[in-house]
Formats: sequence, structure tokens, C-alpha cells
Amino acid sequence: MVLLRNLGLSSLTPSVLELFAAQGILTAEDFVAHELHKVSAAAGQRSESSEFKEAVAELLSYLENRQGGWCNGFELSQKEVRYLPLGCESIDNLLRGGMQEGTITELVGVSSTGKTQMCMQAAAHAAYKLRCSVIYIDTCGAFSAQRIAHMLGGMLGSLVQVEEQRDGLTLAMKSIQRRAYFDIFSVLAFLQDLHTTLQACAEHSSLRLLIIDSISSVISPVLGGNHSQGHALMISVGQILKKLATTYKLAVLITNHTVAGDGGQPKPALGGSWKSVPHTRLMLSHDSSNDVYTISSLKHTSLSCTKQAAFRVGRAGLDSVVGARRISE
Amino acid sequence: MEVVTLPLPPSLRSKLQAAGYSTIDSNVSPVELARDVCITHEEALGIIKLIPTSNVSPCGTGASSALDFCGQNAWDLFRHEKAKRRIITSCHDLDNILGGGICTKEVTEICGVPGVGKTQLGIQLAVNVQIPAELGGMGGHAIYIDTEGSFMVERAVQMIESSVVEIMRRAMLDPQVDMEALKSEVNVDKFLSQIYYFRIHDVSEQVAVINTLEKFMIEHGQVRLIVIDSVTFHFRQGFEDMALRTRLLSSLSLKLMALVQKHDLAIVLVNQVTNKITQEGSEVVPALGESWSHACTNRLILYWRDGQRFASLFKSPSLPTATAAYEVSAKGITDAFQTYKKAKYI
Repeated sequence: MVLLRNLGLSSLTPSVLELFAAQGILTAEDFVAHELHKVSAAAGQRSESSEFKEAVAELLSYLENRQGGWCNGFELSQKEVRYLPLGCESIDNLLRGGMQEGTITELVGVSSTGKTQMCMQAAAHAAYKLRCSVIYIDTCGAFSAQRIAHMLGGMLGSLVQVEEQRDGLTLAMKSIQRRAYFDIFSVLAFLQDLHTTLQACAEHSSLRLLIIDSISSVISPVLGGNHSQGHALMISVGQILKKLATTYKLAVLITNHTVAGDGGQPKPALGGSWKSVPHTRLMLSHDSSNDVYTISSLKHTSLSCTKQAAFRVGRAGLDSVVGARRISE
Repeated sequence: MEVVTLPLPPSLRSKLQAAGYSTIDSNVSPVELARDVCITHEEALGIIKLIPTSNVSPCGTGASSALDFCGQNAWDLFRHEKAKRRIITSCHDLDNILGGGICTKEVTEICGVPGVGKTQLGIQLAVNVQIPAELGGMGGHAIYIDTEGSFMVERAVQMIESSVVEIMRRAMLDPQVDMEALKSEVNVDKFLSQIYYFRIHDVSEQVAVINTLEKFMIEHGQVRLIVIDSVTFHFRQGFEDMALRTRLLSSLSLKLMALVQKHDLAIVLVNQVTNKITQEGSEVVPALGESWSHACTNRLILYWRDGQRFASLFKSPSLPTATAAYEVSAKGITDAFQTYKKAKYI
């Protein structure tokens, strides 16, 4: 939303701007929202009528040029879709290759069901195997570089290999940027900052993964009560995340906690309007009797939501478990 | 930058929106802003200061780090983490499952049924954090926030006495330690004076004391441990609006997290347990509900089994789930008796 006088259009002279302001039109959006004939009627009574018409025409053509153009379905299908694997076979199979770039993936689960472990696994795998940079926004103090190091070590296997690949591992560790924020305003400010930075140097950027663990812990203190401001903040976070994901083809991975739903069953927190933000929503659960973690999709834009995958959390990261079924099935 | 995303008072926000500023740019001039919105120049300057300016350096030449933010990368953090010190619990098995003790820069929650030793562990940690650095401790001070009135100074004295004996015994073995200097540092009065005690009577006091901890920390830079015993008590009664309770608790936990990161200290929260009714009957779970379970970085659950006390590390981002036996004796927290000595890894 831009103030009319900052648009830089030559026909918007101070007198025309004054005319618009008298009608309560200050920004381009105000202009769109107003009924044009009413404004013209008001303008007709004054002497600058021709000047005014010129301004309206120029504004309209400016707004027309603002739209991004179109393409057809065939062209869309030709566009390359990249996936960012997590490096755990069963999960990658479930997701047909991993997290889709340009979309938001959300992990939901009760406490200690492996959400943070999955985030760190994704970060370690992307940084080492795919040699891309990762931004990890940590809002609950759970990021552990030592754990990342263990996971990286696990990707190589033997100690000898770890020694040989020392430089590679160091480089991988260096390409994981961790940011600790404990309130929603600093998260928003950082995301905005990231947007401006990427705008300037998107071609050179090797950033492919953005992780926020967890989004709900900064949103839940402001949500609810009699104020709508918290809700507005939540929607702003969703908007900017979507913008970052689609514009710069980032895979965005966020975590959310659960609240008690119908009959005490856990359901994702943050309510109905947040539900539309993530493209993919994955539910995690943990069976303590055999220490198997199960992951199933609650929402996916291109896959059916009936399948599930199992994994174990080991010292060296996530190991896929094949053939494990939940007792309830 | 969207105006709704700035931390502004509602009155200023609505003024900005009424003047057409639903987004705002960091290069807007304060004079212009003040004139458009009809606010003072100071207010306009304040608003502009809130807008993040892109301070990111131009693209680096390295292939993997084109985005070089001033934040910390995992490699730097790894080296910091290796140097991190831990507060021992005085029980070896318990220290083992915790990776050496209670970690600084983390929030650890201790939950358990009444009488299992939550407060005992809290007091013990407040004593152990004071073990001098030359003997492998942290040489820090402790803040004890007591909401239930369960902190017994006589008990603390007992624990300190046995701790002082133990420190002196270890110092004797180490020829490099200056015994005279140590004696002036390590004695019951000194240790007691380095535990700062707050007695909290209701929710508003609790919220207030946590909000002012930041200031207290600046005045007392030596503090390395904060124990809140218990975080639960006042939140379990007299709350009509449960959504408000959740909001209060979650903002409280974020404040504590910010505090541990900033001041390099450990926070230990004591939590009570409650019965959760399920279809199969009931089970004992930590109190304060599901949302709160995300508030702590580590969760240690204390429980009884066959007349023996056990501690189980239930949640940790960096350590595996494990259980250890411990004992509460006159000296404080100690190793369990021989039969249960071995730590069991689930």
C-alpha cells in the first residue's frame, strides 16, 4: 500500500491530491475501494476537471500494469518442482521426495514427539548433502549444535570418514544460521529483513530452507482475548512466510503444538485461520512402548492423506522404520 | 513493513492507518510522517526506529554462505556448547542422564508427585551452583523464587554443611588450591548469602517478579541459576478464564527463555502433577496442560517405584530418554543404594 503522492505519477499534482484527500483517498487501495463516479461528480464541480480526468486515467493504467500477468496450465506443468529431502527414507517416501520447495510444511505434535529432531535432521541434511544454506529460527531454546554435529557424523558412518570430511562438515555447520527470537515482533522484523535481503541478491543466494521451531510459542501469547491485534499479527506471519516461500522457492518448515480437541484428542493449535497457512500439515506421534515415532499427513496439497511413515530417533539422527504398524490399526 | 506488525500502542496504530499508512518504509522522513499523521516529532522518530533496516552485508563470495547474517551459525554454537558448564545434582547417575548436570542456557522442568524430592533437588542445585570454579563448579549465585512456602532454610543449611565438607575434602587433594582463600569463600554464611530468596503470594506477584528479573540480573551479574518452586501453584486456582491462563503462561515461558539466552544461566522450574482421565482410567501427568509442555526445553519427571525414587529424562532436544535412581538423605540429593545403582536406558 503506497500513498498516492509516493507513486511518482506526473499527473498527480498537489491540487489533484488535495481533491482525492478530500474524498478520503490517500492510498492506491483507497482509490480502488472508492466508487469512481462519486469522486468524478465532486471533481466536476471544480475547475481542475480535465486535470483530474487525466490523473484518474493514469492511475487506472498504473494499477493495470501492477498485475503479474498469466500463464496457462501447460506452462505451469513445465515448471520445475524441486523437493528437499529430509534424509530419512520412510518420511521422504511418504512425502514423495521431501518438502516441496515454495511451500510451507508444518509439523504438529504433542510434546516430545520428535518435531525438533525432525527440524534439526532437515537442517543437517540440507546443509551437508545438498550444500545449501539454512536459516533456523529458534523460539524455544531447543536448537542444539551438538545434536546437529551428531547427525552430520551419522551421515558419514565411520570415524575415519568423519576425519576425512572434516572440512565439509565444518562448512555444513557454518551454513546453518541460527537465530533465537522470543517475541513475535522480532520474528516478523527478521522475516521482513530476509525478504528485503533476498530481493537484492536472490540469484546468488544458496538459501533453500527456512525453519521456525516453533511458530506457536511466539503466537500463542498474543492470540485470543478481546483484542484482534494478536490475530492480525498471526495472519501477517502467515502472509510473509507464504511470500518468502513462493517468491524465492524456499522450503519453509514450521512446528506447531497441540491443544486438547474433542474428547481429549490432541488437535493442532492456533485455530482455523492458521490452518490455511501451511500447504502440508504433518502430525507426529510417539509410541513409548516400542519407541517408534509415527508421522501421518493431515493436509497435503497433492497427495492423499491416508498413508503414514514410521521412524526412530537415534544418536545419529532419524532412522526409518519399515513395516511398523500402529496397534490401533 | 506492515504497520500492524510493529509493536505500537493501539492509539498510534489507528492514527497511522487513518492517515493511509498501512505500510511504512524505513526511509520515510520523520517530519513528513509527523505532519501526515498529526503526531509529535518524537513519536514519529520512535515509530521509524521500530522499522527494521536491512543491515545485511552484500552477498558474500563463498558458495555456501551467500547470506551472511550477523546471527550465529551452528559451527560457532557448537564450540560454545562444548565449553558450556553444568550444575551437578550430587547424584552421579542423574548427572549422567543429564549429560553432566543441569545445563546453562536452557530451561529445565522438574515434575513429580508431592514428597518425591522436587524442592530438595531445587535447593540442592541452588547450593551446587556455588561450588567454586577451580573445583569444577560454576562459582555462581542462585535466585530461589518460592511460591508455596516450601523452602526451609534449616534444610538449606544442612545441605550447605555437607557440601562445604565435600568441597574441602576435594580441595585437600588438589595441591594447587589455596586453602586459606577457599575457606573465606566456602562457608555456610557465605553460601547462604548467595541465595536470593523471593517469597511469592499470588499470580500477579509471580508475573511481576519474572518481569523484573532482567533488572535484578543486571545488578547481580553472578547469578547462574534461577529456581521457581513451583511455577504451578498459583496458576492452579482461581482462574476463570483458561485462555488467559494459557496466554500468561506462554508469555512467561518466552520471557524465561529470553533470559537464559541473554545471561548464560540455567532456569529450573518445579511443576506439580495432576491426574488425567483417559478411557483406560487415569494417569499422572505434569500439570498446566498440553501447551505448557512445550514451554520447557528439558523435562525431568521424578517418581516412586518399589520404594525407590527415580528420575526420568522425558524430553530433551539433545539427549536420549533415560532413567536414573536417586536418594534424598540428610546430606541432600545422593546416589541411590547399591541395588539400583545402574542407570537404566529405555
